[in-house]
Amino acid sequence: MKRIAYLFFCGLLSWTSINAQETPALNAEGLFGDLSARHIGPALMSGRITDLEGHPTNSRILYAGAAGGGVWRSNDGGITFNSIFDDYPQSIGAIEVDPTDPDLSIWVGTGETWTRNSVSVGKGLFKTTDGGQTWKLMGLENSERISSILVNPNNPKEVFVGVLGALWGDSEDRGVYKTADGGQSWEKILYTNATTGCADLVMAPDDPQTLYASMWEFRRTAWSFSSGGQSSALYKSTDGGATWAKIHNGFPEGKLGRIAVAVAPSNPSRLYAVIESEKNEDKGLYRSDDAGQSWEHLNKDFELTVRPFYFSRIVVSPANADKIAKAGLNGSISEDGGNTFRAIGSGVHADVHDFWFDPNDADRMYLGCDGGVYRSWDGGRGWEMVKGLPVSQYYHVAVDMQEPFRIYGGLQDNGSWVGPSQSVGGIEARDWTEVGYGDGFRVYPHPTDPNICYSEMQGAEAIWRVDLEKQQSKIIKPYPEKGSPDLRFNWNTPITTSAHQPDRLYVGSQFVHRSDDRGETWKRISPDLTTNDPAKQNQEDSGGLSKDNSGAENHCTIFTIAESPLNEKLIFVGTDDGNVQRTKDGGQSWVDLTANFPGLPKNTWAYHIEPSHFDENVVYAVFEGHTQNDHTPYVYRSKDGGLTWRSITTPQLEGFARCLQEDLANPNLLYLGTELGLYITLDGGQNWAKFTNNMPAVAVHHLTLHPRDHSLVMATHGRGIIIIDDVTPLRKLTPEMAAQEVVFMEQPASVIYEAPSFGGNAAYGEFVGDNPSRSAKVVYYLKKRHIFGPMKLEVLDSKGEKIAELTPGKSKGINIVPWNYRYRMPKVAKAKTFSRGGFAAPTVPPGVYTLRMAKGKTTYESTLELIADPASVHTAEERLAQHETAMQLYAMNEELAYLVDQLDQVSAGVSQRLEAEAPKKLKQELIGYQGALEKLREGLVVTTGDNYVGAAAPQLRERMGSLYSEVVGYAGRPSNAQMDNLALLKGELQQATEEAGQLMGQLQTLNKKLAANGLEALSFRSKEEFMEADQ
Amino acid sequence: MKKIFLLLAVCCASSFSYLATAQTAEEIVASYLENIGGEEQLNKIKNMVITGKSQAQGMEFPVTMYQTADGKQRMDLVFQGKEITQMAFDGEVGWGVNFMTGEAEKMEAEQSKMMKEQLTDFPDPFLNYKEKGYTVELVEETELEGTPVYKIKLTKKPIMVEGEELENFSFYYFDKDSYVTLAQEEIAKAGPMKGQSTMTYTSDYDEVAGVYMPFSITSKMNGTTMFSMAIEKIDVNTDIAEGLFAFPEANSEGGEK
Repeated sequence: MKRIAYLFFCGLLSWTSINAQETPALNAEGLFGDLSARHIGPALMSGRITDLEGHPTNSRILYAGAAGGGVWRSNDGGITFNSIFDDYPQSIGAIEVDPTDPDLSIWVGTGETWTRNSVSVGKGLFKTTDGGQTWKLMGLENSERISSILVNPNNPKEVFVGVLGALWGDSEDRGVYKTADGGQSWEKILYTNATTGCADLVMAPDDPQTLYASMWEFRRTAWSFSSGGQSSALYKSTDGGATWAKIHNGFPEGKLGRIAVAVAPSNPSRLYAVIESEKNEDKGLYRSDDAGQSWEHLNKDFELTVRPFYFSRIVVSPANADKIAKAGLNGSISEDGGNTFRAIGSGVHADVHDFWFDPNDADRMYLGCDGGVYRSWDGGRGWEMVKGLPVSQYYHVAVDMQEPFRIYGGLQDNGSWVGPSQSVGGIEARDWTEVGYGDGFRVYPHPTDPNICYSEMQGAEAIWRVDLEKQQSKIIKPYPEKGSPDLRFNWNTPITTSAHQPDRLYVGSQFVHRSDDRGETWKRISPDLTTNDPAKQNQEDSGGLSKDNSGAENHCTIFTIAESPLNEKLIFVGTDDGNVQRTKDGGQSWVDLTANFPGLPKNTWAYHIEPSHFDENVVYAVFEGHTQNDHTPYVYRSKDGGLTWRSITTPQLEGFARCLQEDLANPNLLYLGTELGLYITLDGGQNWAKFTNNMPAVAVHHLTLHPRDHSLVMATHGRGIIIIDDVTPLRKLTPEMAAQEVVFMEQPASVIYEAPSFGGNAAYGEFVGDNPSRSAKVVYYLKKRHIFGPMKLEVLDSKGEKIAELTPGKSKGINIVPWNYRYRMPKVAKAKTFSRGGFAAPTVPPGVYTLRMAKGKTTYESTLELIADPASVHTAEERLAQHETAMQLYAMNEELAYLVDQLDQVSAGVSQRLEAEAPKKLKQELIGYQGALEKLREGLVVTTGDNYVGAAAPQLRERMGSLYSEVVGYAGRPSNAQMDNLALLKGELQQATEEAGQLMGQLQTLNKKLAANGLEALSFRSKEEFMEADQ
Repeated sequence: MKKIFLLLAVCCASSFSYLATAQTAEEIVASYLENIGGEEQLNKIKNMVITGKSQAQGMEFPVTMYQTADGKQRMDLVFQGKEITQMAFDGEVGWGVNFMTGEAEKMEAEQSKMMKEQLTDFPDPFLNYKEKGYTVELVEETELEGTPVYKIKLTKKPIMVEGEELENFSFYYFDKDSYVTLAQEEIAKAGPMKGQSTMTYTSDYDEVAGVYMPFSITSKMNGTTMFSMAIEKIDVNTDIAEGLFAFPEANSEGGEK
């Protein structure tokens, strides 16, 4: 016994000692319940489309694969699109519709193959056999980038896949793969070496065993790009990939780069190849009319040779072997077999990546570019944009303190934008304002001046101070000082504002620059904080066979600057070449902390640093290694100002991490953005749970938390801005709570919003971002899902009267039940048509309400406080006047309803009696009486007409209902005219009541006569019975 | 008695779940049918009248639903004391009342045909599913809002939609402990939402005529509640007037009762 006690004691001791260091573990997995993300796009600029694919026979169907935004399907020829691939990596390389089962079987190869610096990463090959409802991973998990998928039209189990593979390092997972068993097993049938992948793979239209594969030698580092080499080549196989031969007869001499290849669907001998080569004079379009035996160089127009790594795609019209479309800066089309080209007209966004020709209609075609999908109805001369594809690629996001708050951020090739977090009728295209050109990155509002924001374009070519009100922008970037070296700015240059000095601005080159006057003057406050490695600074030589010095490879630059929210002199800096540096004196002296991160590979990109909001010694750092071909997430926390660091990653995390946001109320609650979505920890990083409620597996490049509204706002690189509106329930989740069956989570007082009246003008097919719910929220935790027996949730007023019955949530974890803080709609008089009044419900007054949940045999109670809208333009007295008038009219509507019910009931009773045997005189009296009832009723409710233009002249019910709904619809004092009208209607109701009373008063004598004839007395139900009944 | 059995099943399933071996879709469906009351009980159900309160678009209104074993159905809503037949089907013709005129109007012929093809789903699509020509497939073992479930795909015969023949399937989520359905996922077959799914959650199961039936139904799209219904009463094998389902040729405001 003693021994047991001792063991128990030891156990307890070790348990407590472990837990003394850490907060108690609590995994959020399975507890998110009703907490859901909201997508606001925007889609007005859309985002990069990598691949378009149609249906072989049904022109209504079109698929668009996005660079970072998943797979979208249109069922109506490109008017509307729906996302069908949310749960899987959102970077899409290739889509293939199985020609033998085109309605249901679709293959998706993940990983974009347009290998720009910011390209995302894929994770294998997927297939659906139910039209996109469910997807299965079909292998090639390490392929990273899939360029082509081909299904044998005679045997769908035979599939060929071109894998471009890793961009940032050697990999043997590339080349051409084949399955003969529908994807259960794969054979690599063409492989060159670890640096050369398959850039394009096509199949002869008449023979599924004849394949053409373009192999491309390429490599990217954080500071360079190289396209081309001895290994790039074009191969042909005529035996289903068993053997391959180079087909270079007529090709340029020397090294080759990326090659696009296409075969004409209408002529198997006609091939086109667009070739990147050493010499400018032999680059461009080649054609073969003998199935690849020989080639002729036709054209080296700009659009044919521009940026091969980004634009190597050529598409042949299905019916016309001479009509071809080439991707490019603007894209171009040839109608004469490639001899001459016309540019694709203006109005189409730059950087065209793919085309789809309607197989049934030569005039109908589509293109995908950096700005979404475009439709053409005239063979590619005029184009219109699809406005419903929210695949915008944000790099960064910031929020301001406006009401509603605004959202600032920059996008890949689509500028910088400001938009509201909510708008009347939803967030539409017209709600967004552009605040920067080119590629946009970080945009910050001035901390206190709502009219000012700062934005930038790539490589700090411009940093703007934008006056939102006057719509003026001034370039305010820092320049090199006398005697200082050239400034090196990252493609995505860090700029940031200060929590302490509103007019302060920081910008990072290799130095930290600080301005205290909104960017008018700059002071360098650091030495070169990077490794300044000269070997990584030869960007003018970058590109390989085609020089490509856009600034995208600028390296040895500062990437993140983080001023402590608690101490303006404490600043952390992270660089793209892996340094983390700190100053505690506002930049006078700097300490290099780089060596202090255990397990971190050298030169891993320091992506994001988050100094704590609770303790200035606590700081988080996120490193991103994918440009070193390393997909490990690196997330560290220091509790001593950066001297020692501890990893807070767990194997639960998938995808490399980019950014972390510490919660502003609960220091154990952290939000982490990774390449594959959002992760949340409730216990300071001991457990991470992926958040998937309406949150796709999209790369989260940055995230921020709104300090007033508690909204987590995410910059996704492919699905626009995604928001979790209120994270407060997460703050309250504790192990103690998790152990209980039911816990109400008390909410801060809810606002009774006074919503604007008009809005919502988006056209069909245009994306409209969701608004946050304006309802009050009843929030509670359930330990287990409610499945059996009744569960009810009621709201009671201060008198204990039930005023609303809500539909309770049943899920495990967090449940959020909206309440629209309104009474029930009044019961209105039954008539031929509907009364507006019957659809209007008055808002309940501010106050404390009781929530009562009955679950099984147990009842749980909590309270919910409602407060008036702080933004209200009405005084409390005015709101009270409105409420009292509304309630008076509410009661009048119900009074009339009961009055009419009495008339109806008695009249129906009379009709019954008239069917029975009775003296003629009595019957005549009854008929006369009923006539009087009906006459009164006809003056009270409409008895003819319909609910549209056939409406009858309004009677008392309709006029009372209208006034009531008008008063209910406005939160302020009713107008004098409305009050006069109320008095008038009250008088009419009074008169009607008296008349009805007189008629009912006649019942006594009438009933006596009925009784004398053995007939049942006429009667009507009580008001209570009437109110209870449905009809 | 059934209730006790079900509770027992729940207890056993949860305490011995670690012993559970991989189950086939057929076994899961069989356990489901057994646990909600058994095929014999289900086969006895000839009609149902379901009454309750619905909430949609901020409004609350009474609803009555009629369903019969031969596939007739009708759903009535009450607005402002007036009963409106939102949808009815007599086995051949589907119809509903136009809210503007209050008059009955027929559905598009294709839609009636679609309903006719689903005649055999009463009282439960899984009852005798093999005889009906349906197939079931276990898609995955997963979680529904944190609760472990089996996701089953039920495939019926293809149907014609918008002039095209479409595969006709939906997904059901069965609670791993009790085997009752926690949700059904329907895929829109027409219109701009075509291909998008609606989740219909079922809970508050209780016993009616020896069969467990859900008394709470909530439909959501992308996490937003579109419609919910709190069922107050389910009457089984009751008298339903024959003419209730027929398109009212001459009169307005629905058929006779």
